[in-house]
Amino acid sequence: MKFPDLKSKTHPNFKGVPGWVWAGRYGIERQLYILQRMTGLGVLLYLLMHLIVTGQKLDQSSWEFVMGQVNQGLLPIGEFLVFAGAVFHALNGIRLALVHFGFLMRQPGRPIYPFTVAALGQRWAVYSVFIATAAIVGYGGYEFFIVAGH
Amino acid sequence: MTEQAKGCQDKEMTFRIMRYDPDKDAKPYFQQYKIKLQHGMTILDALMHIKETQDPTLSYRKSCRMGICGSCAMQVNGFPRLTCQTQVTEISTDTIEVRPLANYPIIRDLVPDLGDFMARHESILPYIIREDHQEQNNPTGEYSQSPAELEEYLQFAYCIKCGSCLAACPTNATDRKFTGPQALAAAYRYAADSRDGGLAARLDTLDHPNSLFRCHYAGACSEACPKGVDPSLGIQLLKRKLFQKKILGRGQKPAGMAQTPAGIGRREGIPQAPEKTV
Repeated sequence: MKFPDLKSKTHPNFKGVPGWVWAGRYGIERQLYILQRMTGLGVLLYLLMHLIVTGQKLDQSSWEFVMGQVNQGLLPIGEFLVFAGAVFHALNGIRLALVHFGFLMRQPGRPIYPFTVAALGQRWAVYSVFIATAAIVGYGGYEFFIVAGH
Repeated sequence: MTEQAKGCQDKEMTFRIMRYDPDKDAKPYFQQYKIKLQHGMTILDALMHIKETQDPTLSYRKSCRMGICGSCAMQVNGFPRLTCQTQVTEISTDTIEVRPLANYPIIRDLVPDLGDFMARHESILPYIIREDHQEQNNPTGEYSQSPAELEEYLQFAYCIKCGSCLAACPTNATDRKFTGPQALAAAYRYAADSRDGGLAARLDTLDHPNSLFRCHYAGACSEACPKGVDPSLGIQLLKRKLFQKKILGRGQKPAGMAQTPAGIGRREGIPQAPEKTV
């Protein structure tokens, strides 16, 4: 006797990339998850472009021509955004490295309504990342735009 | 009836519900229903009202209706919730969108397929593991555990396996092989239990690229958990346990048998315990 196939037909309902790009109404750690990935990808993309440009065998005049090109239009602003992204990525990475091993977090406790999350224990680190990033990027902006005149 | 309750009674709400029949539909679509709001109505009550009065073909999963069984978790306005625990008046929109939990295949309408979810839970050996199999299978007494040791894992034992955490998890949205916050938090629940001696075996089940270190701490699972289990905390503490075991070589010796106090007799009037049945 042949038994009927009882496996039900289903519709895949996976969110895919939009599932991590859009945080909706979730909290600040979820938003930082996106920002950490975006800045990581941005820095990686810049590294690849940087390696391609600096890996060329160019004579001095060609090199100066290329450098002149990358200093035109919006490219210096893009370069500054890479700097800002790298600063945030590094500082937030330190926070994440600590959190990943359970440091900074609250310890387990009985779930009593209204429920709370252990992530609140490391919110001070989140705000510290914001403040340190703003200070370093602000000083970098002063050096980049005012002193160096880009 | 209070004035507020009377106000609720007259209000008309629109429910935008995702429908899908695998035998008829190529992909899911939305259908709208209008119902009169009743005082104290939950989202699940509203779905039952729609099924009873407007559309008997509407499918959803439910059982206890008191936030214990975890069957009725759904996406309500994009956020995973237990529908039996969510009052319609809590949702501040006039149109409420109800979808099946995200990141699970849809069997029909609002019914997700939790088969793979349960398989992931099973994969992390969710039970106490002891070296003395004879004693474990035929217990002669209790293992000893202090109240402080109980607090180490109790929070994670409150999981009702509703699946909301996987619907909220951004890593799970892109990685279908990810062990997921529920199973990882359950792994910590047993790893932190002082009676358990199976840490090495349990960590071996997590030794693959789609496991523990795929969690990048977005914290969405903990926000979505309707029981306050905080899976993301469990996952980070499990990473610490793994580090202590694999790098520092530190492990815990499982608790021994509780000793029956000697020289204490049974007080008068207290009956004997019944005979063991297993």
